[in-house]
Amino acid sequence: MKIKFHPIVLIALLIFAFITALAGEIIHQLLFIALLLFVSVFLKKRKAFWKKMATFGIPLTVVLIILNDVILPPLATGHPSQGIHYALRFLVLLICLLTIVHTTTPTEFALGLRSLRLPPRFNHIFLLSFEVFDSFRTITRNVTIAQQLRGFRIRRNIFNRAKNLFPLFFPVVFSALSMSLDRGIALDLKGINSPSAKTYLAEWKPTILDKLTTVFLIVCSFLFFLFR
Amino acid sequence: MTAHPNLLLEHFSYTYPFADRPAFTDVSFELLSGETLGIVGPSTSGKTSLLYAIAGILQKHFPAGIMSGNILREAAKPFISPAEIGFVFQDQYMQLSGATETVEAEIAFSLEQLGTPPNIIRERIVEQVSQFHLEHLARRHPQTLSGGETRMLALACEMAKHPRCLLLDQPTESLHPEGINLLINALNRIKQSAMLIVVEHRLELINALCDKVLFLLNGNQQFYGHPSELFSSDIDTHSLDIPSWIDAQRKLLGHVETLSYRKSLRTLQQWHSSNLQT
Amino acid sequence: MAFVEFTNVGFSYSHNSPVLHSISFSIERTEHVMLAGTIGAGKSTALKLAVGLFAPDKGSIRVDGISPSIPSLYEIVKRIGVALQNPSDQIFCSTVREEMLYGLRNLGANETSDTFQRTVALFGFSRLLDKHPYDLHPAQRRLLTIASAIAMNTPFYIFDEPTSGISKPERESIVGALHQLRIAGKGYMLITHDLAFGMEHCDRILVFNKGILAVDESLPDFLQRENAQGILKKNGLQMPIVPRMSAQLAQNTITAQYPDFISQLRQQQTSSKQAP
Ligand SMILES: Nc1ncnc2c1ncn2[C@@H]1O[C@H](COP(=O)(O)OP(=O)(O)OP(=O)(O)O)[C@@H](O)[C@H]1O
Ligand SMILES: [Mg+2]
Repeated sequence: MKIKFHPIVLIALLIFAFITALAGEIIHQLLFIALLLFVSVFLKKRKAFWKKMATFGIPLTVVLIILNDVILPPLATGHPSQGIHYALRFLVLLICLLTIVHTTTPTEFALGLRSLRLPPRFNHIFLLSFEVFDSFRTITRNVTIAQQLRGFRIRRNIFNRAKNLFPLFFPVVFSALSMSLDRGIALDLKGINSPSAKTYLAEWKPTILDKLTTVFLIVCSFLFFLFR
Repeated sequence: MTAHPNLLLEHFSYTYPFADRPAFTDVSFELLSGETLGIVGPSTSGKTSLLYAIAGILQKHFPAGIMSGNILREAAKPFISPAEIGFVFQDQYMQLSGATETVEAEIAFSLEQLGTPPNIIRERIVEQVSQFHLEHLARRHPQTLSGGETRMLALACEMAKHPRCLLLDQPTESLHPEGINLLINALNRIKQSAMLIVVEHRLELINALCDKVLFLLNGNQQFYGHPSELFSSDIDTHSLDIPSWIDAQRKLLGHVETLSYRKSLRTLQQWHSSNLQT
Repeated sequence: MAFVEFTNVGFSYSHNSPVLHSISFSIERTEHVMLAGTIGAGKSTALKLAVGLFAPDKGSIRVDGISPSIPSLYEIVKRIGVALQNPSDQIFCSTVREEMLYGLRNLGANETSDTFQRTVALFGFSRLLDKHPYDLHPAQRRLLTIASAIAMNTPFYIFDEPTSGISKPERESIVGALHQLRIAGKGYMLITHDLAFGMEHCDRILVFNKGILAVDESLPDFLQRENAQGILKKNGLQMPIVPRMSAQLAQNTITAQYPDFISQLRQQQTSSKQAP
């Protein structure tokens, strides 16, 4: 089965995840995690999903729990376990992001958003943020290759990998930003900001189900926020 | 043809914000629709910045820079609208929108943004795909193309707009000779109805395409005139790439005026052995 | 045993039609080879296979006896210095100095190293060392990628499109660098569309056509072939003007007069105006 949600559903889901993580009770968060884990079973890219969970999500969750419950002195928040509290928040956001990343590609996402016929300014902001997101991925990949080509030995160990990523961070951010400046110029010349009504060869409109889910998620987030 | 130039620059200078020297100074030229201007000069001499100024990019994206002199476009517009301008960047990868999944969709992207009717978009896709021989790539993802294929796509995207002003920053880089011929044919096709400005190191191309040439060196205009006069004028052109035919004359003939043909042939052989065998 | 050895190498990117079909060639450690071919012929792919960024579907590749792959990449790059086609893909340090030292450090040398100083001098980078690479002109960035590879002081180099986007001053730097490599007894392979450049600096020519190795010959031999021009043309390439004219000159009888010769030159000039 291939699950394909329109981007507006995914955005609503992300909002919902934020609210659940920040304002929800432990039971809500657990439910949310359970629901998403259930959905992830049907994902086409579920292997990649679980690989990221295993190499990154679960170890970090454990570290969070240990850090808060064993190493740091307890805070007076009234929660029985500070660590579990933080870990759940983290898991909610992480699983939601992973689900979103593995249900769509940036280009599909962009197509869906374009088909919503948002005002040009929104269109531009969305596209540019994609550029940044997309360039983060490509630049990270390219830089890793370039480093290896100049004698850097990548170690298979997770901790070393995290250590390798750290010095990568600034160059990647820097070049993504400077690239998106250039890309911004290119997109501008492609008429992104043009005031005329846009036409579309291919479109991806939200279905009724998409719309209903979106409304449902937004209403839920709202209620959560009000009655936390 | 009207006597009014469609583009006129008078003593035009620009300095980027925080830069310690101007990107270019005192540039003057005029261009009619249907004419082609070549801009030559070594790297860092301000050629790309000049293109940016003509396209209105400097005014829009770097408004804090210092500008002097005049730049007059048709109807005195501050910026040319994206519908009227085509801009081929030096880095072909910069040109991809990043928001499409096929080569065809990439060609359509800009037209969609400008509100071109879908039937015309389809025509333009067919036209560009055949013009640049992209048939076998039409359904490929733009980010999986080779360097030269990406360049072809970038050219197709910009030409699909049927721009009235087409600016090309080193468009032949990473193309093979057949690709360059496709480009020249395409440029000759739209030349009648558009204004072309080409930054290029290959002087053969400048010679083949351009009505006028402007030589920039460290931001200063060294020469402006007909391409054939560039090398006969007494300006110092040693910072330019030597056109291949002059290169051939020098390498093959050496001091041919004073040598017999037989001797020049020997020079030729020596040249060959020293260059190809060592 | 040859230094770089491709034996019946076939390769395709995921699900697409094959990019390389059964390519075989071998290059010695001290050879200077050019690799030409139309766009999308598979040249850059061959480079990526040679260093081990991808694994071939069929056939085998050996570099100095090692089979290139991601785990053996370190061993490969100690032997082959690489500059990829797109400079923006491979510059990642925050100063020119760091960029040039990066490879050296991984191979265990440092700033005082002789090769670093020599490479800086060779490319005239001494005044740019503390600049951010993104403040450089694209042409200088291309130079930087080549300089960073040369600084690693490996025995062999592969440069993908070293002359793309550069003007005469940078070209002269590269020519100087190639000359130094030659003197130092190092080999290189230039992947290039600029045949004139390639022919001046290489001794052997490989031509790819749609993933097939169409030409593999020593350059002097190849240029002496009567139909060399035709062979290149068949593979979508064009003989550069210098060898083309010298071939014409060589065919002329010795009694041809100088005026004829000049008029031939002029013809060449006008025809190159029409179709360079
Ligand atoms: N990641 C990829 N996925 C799918 N196909 C690819 C990918 N990268 C390259 N190709 C295709 O493989 C073929 C060979 O590409 P390659 O980059 O090796 O060409 P090239 O000879 O270097 O060409 P150029 O001179 O244009 O750089 C091309 O048709 C290209 O479209
Ligand atoms: Mg290539």
